[in-house]
Amino acid sequence: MTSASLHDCGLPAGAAVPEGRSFRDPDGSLVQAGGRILRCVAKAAAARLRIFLASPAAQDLFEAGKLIPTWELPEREQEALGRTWSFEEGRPAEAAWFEHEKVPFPSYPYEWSPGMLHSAARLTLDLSSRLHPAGLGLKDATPYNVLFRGPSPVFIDLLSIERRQPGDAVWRPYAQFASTFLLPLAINRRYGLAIQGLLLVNRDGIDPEQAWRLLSPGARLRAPFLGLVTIPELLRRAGAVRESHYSARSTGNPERASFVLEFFYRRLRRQVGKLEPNARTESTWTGYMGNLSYGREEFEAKEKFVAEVLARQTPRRVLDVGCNTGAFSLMAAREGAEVVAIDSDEAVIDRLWRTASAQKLNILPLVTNLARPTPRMGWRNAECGSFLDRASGRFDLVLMLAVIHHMMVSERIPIGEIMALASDLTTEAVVVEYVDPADPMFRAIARGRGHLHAGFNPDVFRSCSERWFKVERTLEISPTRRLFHLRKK
Amino acid sequence: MPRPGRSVLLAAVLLLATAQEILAYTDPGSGILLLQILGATAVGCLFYVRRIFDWLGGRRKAKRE
Repeated sequence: MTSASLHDCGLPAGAAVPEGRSFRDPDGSLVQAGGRILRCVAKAAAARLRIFLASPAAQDLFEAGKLIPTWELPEREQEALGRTWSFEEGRPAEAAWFEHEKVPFPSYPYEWSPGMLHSAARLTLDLSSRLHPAGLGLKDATPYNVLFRGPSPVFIDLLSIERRQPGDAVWRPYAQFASTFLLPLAINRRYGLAIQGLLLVNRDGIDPEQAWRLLSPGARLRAPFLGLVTIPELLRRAGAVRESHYSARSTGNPERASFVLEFFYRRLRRQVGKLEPNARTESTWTGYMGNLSYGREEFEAKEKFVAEVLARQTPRRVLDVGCNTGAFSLMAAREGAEVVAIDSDEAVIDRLWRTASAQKLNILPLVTNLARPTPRMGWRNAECGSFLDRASGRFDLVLMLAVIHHMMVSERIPIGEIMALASDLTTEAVVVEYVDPADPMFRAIARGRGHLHAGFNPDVFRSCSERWFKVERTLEISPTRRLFHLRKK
Repeated sequence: MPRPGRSVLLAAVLLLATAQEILAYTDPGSGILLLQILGATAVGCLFYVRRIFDWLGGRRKAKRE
């Protein structure tokens, strides 16, 4: 690959860097180049992919928005990128290049709410059963094959789609589907354990052996755990599995295999339906908007202030930090912005995701605590980027409403540090709600440690901010709360 | 061999067998796969049962006509 030829194709010289997360698939690797998402595919897999892309099944799935739009690069660009692209030993020696539509903000399963994981499960299952009549299937069934565009899931790993052996009556990725989708959803529903906690450290999900230890004797005998945990675990312990069970075996009767698989998909759809997370799950913060520590008038003044900032700045990309159920994310999305909304509370993120889905608003809600953002994960800490890797410098407006006091008090982050991070995240402006130590909510979360923040006042906040920002406008909405519209210097 | 010796031998064999079972690696998802294979076999039988019913239904319909 030469710099000059890359430049001819509109790709910056030296910008083609492998996306670490895709090295596991021997059929191809993902590459980021000049802001584009390219996939280098081995010759044989490329031939299969071309046939699939031209099939009616693929067209239906693209039209339904279930598959990420994908196309083969023109000959000139392929030549420029090199037909013998090789990242390391064992990579495809002869390859073709495809391009995927870019998903604005990649997210990972451990940042999703239960409803989001459930919708990704439904998409994976729906895709697999739609591919079935065309004689196709999925190689794997993991949430890492799915990303969210706004609140909508989309399947991104087209190399996972393969021709199914017609006589094989077994859905091979089922064990992976159970571990990465069904068991986390079932445990979340039954015990309220957060998806983030379950999937952040368990990349391959929860296996029956882990789940067995968690379950009470009674729960082991009830659905869905009887079929997902107890019987599989007893079969495993009995050593009943042979190596031959792993290889696809033909029943010799494709019609019978098809009957079995359709029966299986119907049953699995019912099971996934029963695991739908409860939309009314309560948490400490779900009732926050109905129980504000200040009056309705103050909240309306805040809405008006934010609306004016949105109207004046018309931001394209907004980050809403500590979004709660998303009152301001919804405002920004209705003004046409692409919004990423984060909160550490899974229940409020789930509610916002449901609202954004129902109203078809471009909001991606994620379970992330900005004081302890999602770390880099995987091999060499390079397979999945940290939240800050993805978010830094990406937004032209950051909203930090009723949140900095939580970061200062609960997380003990100095205000200067908070504003430095805000400056990293935004390219233009930030709206911050200053909350005084005398505020009832500040006092409630300080739990008697108010003296640690005794010197904090609007002037201190202003002088800490002025290192990175200049004050555009302020508004006092209550004696203890003040809004600041800050523009980056 | 006196009885206590036989018991000790039996206990040792059982202990070793149990320890081997605990230490032996088995794929955590293997039980799910096996359960699915067993289910597929059972539903496969249902396929033939349904065919018999379809055939009988077809014969009855033909007789009536």
